[in-house]
Amino acid sequence: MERKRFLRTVEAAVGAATLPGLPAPHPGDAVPDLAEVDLTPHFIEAFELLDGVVHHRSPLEVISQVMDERGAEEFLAWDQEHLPADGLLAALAERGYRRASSCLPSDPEGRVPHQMGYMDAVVGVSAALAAFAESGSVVVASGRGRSRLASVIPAVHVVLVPTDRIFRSLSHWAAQADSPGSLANLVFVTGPSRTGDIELTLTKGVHGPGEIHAVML
Amino acid sequence: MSQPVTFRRRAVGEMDTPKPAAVGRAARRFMGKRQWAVDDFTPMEETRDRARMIRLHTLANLHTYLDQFADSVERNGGQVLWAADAAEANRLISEVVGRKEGSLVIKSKSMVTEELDLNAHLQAEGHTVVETDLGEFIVQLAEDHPSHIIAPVMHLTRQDIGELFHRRLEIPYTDDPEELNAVARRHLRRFFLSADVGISGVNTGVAETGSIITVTNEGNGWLTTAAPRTHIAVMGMERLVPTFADAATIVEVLARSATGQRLSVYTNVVSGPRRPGDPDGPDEFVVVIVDNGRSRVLSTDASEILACIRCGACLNVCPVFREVGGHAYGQVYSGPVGSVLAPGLADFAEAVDLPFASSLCGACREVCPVRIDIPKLLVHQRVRATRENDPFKWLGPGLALYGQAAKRPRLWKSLLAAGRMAGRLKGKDEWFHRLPFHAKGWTRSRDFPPPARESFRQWWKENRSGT
Repeated sequence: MERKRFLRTVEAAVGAATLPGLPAPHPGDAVPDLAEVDLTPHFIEAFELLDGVVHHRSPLEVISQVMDERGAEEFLAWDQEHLPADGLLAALAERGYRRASSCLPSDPEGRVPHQMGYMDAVVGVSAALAAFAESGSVVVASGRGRSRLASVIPAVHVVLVPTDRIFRSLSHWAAQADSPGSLANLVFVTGPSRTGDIELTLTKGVHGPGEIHAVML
Repeated sequence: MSQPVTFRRRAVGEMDTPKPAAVGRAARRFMGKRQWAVDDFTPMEETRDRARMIRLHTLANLHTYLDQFADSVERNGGQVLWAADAAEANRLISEVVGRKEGSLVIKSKSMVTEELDLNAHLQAEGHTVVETDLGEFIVQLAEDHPSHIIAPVMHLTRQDIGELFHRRLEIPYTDDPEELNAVARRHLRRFFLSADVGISGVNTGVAETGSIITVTNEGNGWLTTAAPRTHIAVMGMERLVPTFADAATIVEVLARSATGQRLSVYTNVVSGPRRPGDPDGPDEFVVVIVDNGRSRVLSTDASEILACIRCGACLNVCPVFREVGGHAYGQVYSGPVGSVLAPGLADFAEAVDLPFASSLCGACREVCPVRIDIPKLLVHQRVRATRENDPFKWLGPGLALYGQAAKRPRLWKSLLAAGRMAGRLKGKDEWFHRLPFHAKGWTRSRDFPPPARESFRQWWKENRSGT
């Protein structure tokens, strides 16, 4: 249906609607509570409550350990310029870990064969644009040099979290976020992938990573 | 009543299966998980009020926000299609999917596509459609229908699911949820990575940014919108908020209300196709905005129901839903919200009896995160149902019969005596577990008390008369 006609139908329905509280004003912007609190312990507590693992060591050591524990040689990762840990990728390469390409080939026909290469991906490394203390969430903002699949496909997700980017909650972050729609994909990741679909029994890692590690920077 | 299968008949059928017991257990577990921690930075009552105001404000200006949303999506490089009804939505979606013959389509959970019966439509055109939400995948394997908005296979036990996987996926039988989960992960992974098209629903759209937000706990929503070349988001036209900050409020309320989480595991914000230079993501982003009866609902007394954010909390608290399960409603949306919405969306006569499937106890209103007055809306729908096609035509003659008996003292007394006699035949003050004829409906789910051994008048005569 044509947009104009569709919207005319909606407008007529809006005119006839019997909604409570008309004219139904917008509540306005929430006023964030700005009292000074150290949010890092809050974030860590919430993140661990979800079975996330928190590290205070260097990203190089954490990633090496995670790779070695699983006998993995390859990992997926964002480009170095988007990781807040200088020289991390070069240091991992020096230790003999290979970074698999997470960039689609330019030929559209190449997409599926390329992606099928991720079937058994074990470790993915990305960084948090922000984090929420209340829910233990990290904001994974994908874009240039920042593959989406690197964060969601592997069995283990290692995310670098700069502690000066921790906000109280999603709402507090959203209230000050600058054009959040300018990136094609933002995901607020809150713990490992989980499902309760089978008799509401909690199981982890059904589609996304079953383990998530936060490296606090 | 005019419709072929009534709520009553479906409910009775469902109650003869083990399903309602499983649903009742699951619903109670869900209720136990609902929480709003007191030390949260997000205050509960204020945030609910805020969410309600945002939703009502959006509905009161829906045409304006839809217009703005469409502009924003196009600005981001996406495409917007408008569907007046299910047939048009299916046609528009097929046109996109059908650019390649025999496409592989992956889906993340979407109630609106259930409304369209989209899977059947695409399959009939030779495409393969795979549901990726674990519950929906199980529903699809079982060739069944979801029984709950949030937990689609609430009605199946782990043994049912183990048997199903054994039969359909040809794996050794197991009923261990961890193992079943691992089987599903392996099985679905190659579909995610090789699909041509990903179809998602929309929990909320954002007019200001042209974003669509999906929430999942499994990660299938993110994968569905990240891996395939084309992403189609199917959105009920009312699922919109003005700003990004508003959307934040809605998803915070939704997660707490649906499953007691502060946020769902993956709150996925998609704003258009991948930008030039992005290493991955869809090349094409299409939003299909679906009316399918919503403008009709908006123009009635029940318009407030469109403020619903689909958390499922009203289902879990509803004493009727807990007894009969989702399938008894015979519609895509069940429970209290479905009882208001379904008669509006569907052909009214098809779901005309659903508004009566409630005791109006008000638990749904208490629990609704956006404080929709569901009992009031149920009454509105009852009024409309009675006006258009009285489902209780039998009540008139029934009351007339009662009136006839009550006006004749002798007849009345002998009827009461007959009742007492039946009670005495039955034995000592025992409850009736089974009543005959038309009365048997009563004893299907509860006992009927025995008549008193003497009437009140007799008792009065013996104990109180003359004092």
